[in-house]
Amino acid sequence: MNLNRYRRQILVKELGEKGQYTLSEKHVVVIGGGGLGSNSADILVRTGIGSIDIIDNDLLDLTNLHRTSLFNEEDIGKSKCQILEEKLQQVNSEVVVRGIKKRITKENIESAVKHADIILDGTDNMETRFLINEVAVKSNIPWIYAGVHTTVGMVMGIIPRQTPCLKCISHSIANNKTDEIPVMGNLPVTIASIQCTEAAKILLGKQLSGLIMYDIWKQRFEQINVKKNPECTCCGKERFELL
Amino acid sequence: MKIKIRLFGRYRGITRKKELELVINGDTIWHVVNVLAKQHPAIEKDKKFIMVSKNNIYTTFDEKIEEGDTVTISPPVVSGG
Repeated sequence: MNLNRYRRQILVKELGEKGQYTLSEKHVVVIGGGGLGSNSADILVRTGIGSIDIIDNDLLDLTNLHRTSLFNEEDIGKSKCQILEEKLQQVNSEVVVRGIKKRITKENIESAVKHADIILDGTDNMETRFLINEVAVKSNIPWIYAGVHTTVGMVMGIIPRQTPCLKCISHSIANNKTDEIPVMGNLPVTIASIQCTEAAKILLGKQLSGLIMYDIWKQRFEQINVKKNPECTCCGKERFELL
Repeated sequence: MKIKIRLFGRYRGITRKKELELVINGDTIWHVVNVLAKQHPAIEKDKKFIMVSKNNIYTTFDEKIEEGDTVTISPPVVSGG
């Protein structure tokens, strides 16, 4: 590893040289390569994560460009994960970057994440998020939920059996996967940045910040300290109904 | 009975408060949500999807509450990417 590349962030005491080496040994799986996933992958590759898999089955669409940073008009119609692999490998050749073109399902998710030190949520629907939640709890892999809607984003780092899981906090949520979700263009990169900070904290063994809510229009940042729900069917009762 | 309510996200804007107290004729969180939605009709449309906690543990609407409990009302988890 060329430490000179990371000289300025190694000066940050929360990370340091030891933390930089730790990150360089970690493998991250990012599920989804759109607004959240592509920005989080970009941040992690520049931060110096060891290796990263970006899983997405979609082709780039014109409507993706307002909330992403790495994609150009000339990329429209190409596979998102393949564009990300090519571009991010050019950003940092020391990181092993793999774009994997597939749709995550209950049949393939366990094999997709089995080597992950952490999973990052870059999906656009609750169905897949609950699937990630179950596989993460079952396989004891930390993951970071993130979501965006209009001007509001949410992030929560989840360490199975230590912190609340997604099912602990959300019993009755609207699954609007068929709707076109309104999103302020600069929100996903902001929420991705918060998501990656929580990911770094988990990988470095630091304290998480609970459920984070940020409204980019009102510039209102809130943290909610949540506790595990002992009655949670997923992390409490360990019933994995989606897998 | 009197229940202490802590509000997050847009519910702070709707009620213009971070915390308030409600008098509830009922013994579940669903009663709390309904009283709040009646006082603030803007909450009505997404009341089924609100995230609720009792004493910092996120839970379901049918959770029993007692005098002195604190109920947290947060916006639904957002799902876009």
